[in-house]
Amino acid sequence: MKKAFGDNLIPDGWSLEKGLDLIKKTGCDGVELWLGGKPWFQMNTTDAGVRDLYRKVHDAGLVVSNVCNTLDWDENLSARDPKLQAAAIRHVERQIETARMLETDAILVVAGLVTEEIPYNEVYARVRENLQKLGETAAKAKVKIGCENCCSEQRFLISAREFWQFLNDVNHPNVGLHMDVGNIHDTGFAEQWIEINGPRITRVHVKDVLRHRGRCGQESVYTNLFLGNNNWPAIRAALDKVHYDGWIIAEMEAVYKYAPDQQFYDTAAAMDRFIHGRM
Amino acid sequence: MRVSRRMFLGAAGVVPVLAKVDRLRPRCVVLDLGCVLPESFAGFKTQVGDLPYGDGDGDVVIVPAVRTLTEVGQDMIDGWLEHGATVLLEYVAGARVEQRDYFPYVEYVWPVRVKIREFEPVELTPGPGDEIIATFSGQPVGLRRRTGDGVLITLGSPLGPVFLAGDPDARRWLNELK
Repeated sequence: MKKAFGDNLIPDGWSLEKGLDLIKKTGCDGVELWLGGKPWFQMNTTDAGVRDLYRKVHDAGLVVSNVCNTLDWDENLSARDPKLQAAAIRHVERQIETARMLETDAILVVAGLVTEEIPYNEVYARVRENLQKLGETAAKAKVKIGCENCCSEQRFLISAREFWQFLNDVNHPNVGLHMDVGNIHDTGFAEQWIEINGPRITRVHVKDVLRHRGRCGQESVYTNLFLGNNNWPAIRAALDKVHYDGWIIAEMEAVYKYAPDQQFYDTAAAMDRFIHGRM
Repeated sequence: MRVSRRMFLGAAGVVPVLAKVDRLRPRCVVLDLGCVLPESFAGFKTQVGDLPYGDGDGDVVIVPAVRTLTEVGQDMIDGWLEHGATVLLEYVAGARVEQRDYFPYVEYVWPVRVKIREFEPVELTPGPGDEIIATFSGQPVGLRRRTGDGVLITLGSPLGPVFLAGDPDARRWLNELK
């Protein structure tokens, strides 16, 4: 297994180079790049700009683990508005293009947002159809689309078996699951998600979650690895069971009020222990 | 535990099945010797139809989820072992393995290294000649012993129900059993 940080965790005001240097110092192998997240990687970043990004990552002694986006929350594949839907398709296609340029083989999308206005079944059908088409584009580029489980925020594909059935319906070898073990909250257990969807996992996001410990005792709260309620030995064993040996990527909220670089060092150390089963 | 007439006749009927000369057909049977876990029996039944046991592999007799064996049942198992069969005995009585933190898998090291979901495993105590083939929380829950020409495999964690959940590793384990 290899470990990476998302560039979205690089503190605001830092340069990309400073952030990459820190990620390298923590002993990580790669960086996850978020299209639409930081100034250095936007929809209007040219191909030359993406190549420059690639060079900077490699100059830092890292590789790109995968390409995510922050845009799905505003323009989703499930949108009713044809303009928004087209914009979503465009940014996913751009992710696929840039993944090739950055020499990685996986992208992340948040596929489907159920709202009061756009009901579940409508979202399901539209996302399935769009992913089948995008799967073809991804296959030509030798890239896999990992749909992230953002269950409760999406109000879509809440359970492991729903997700499994959805991927069955999409039925495309280049469309899988970008598994986030911190996004399950109270609706299940990450290790069971891994078991059920194992061979289709493209990448793994790690963070921990404190269940039912929000300010009012009703909401889950994200936290650093080993501080929450995830059963990490079980999660590690499940990855082993399904023979997942790919990237482990820290994707979490910046929770350190002071010394933000410490979150990188602490998380990298925790990822090491997780990878080596020392828990 | 008593063995009913139906159970006894069912078991007795296995002997001629195993003795058939048709060596190209699978020779694996699931036998109720007092099964207390219907899911386990049903799970194994879904699997044995197309198992790859053929000529030269010997017979495989699966006895799901028994709490206690009667003398008759024990004699039958001894008889099959003497004739070179592999007997897979699921044993579900005894102390449950204690674990401080929940961990979902039994770790098998034979006949293939796999992790399979635990199903209320009971701890087994290895005797002379027993080889530990599966552990849970570090405690033995699977044993293998050569007896005469046969092999007795005792599992403290029922495998049958796992087939109903569709675990491919459980299927692999059974396929590799010789």
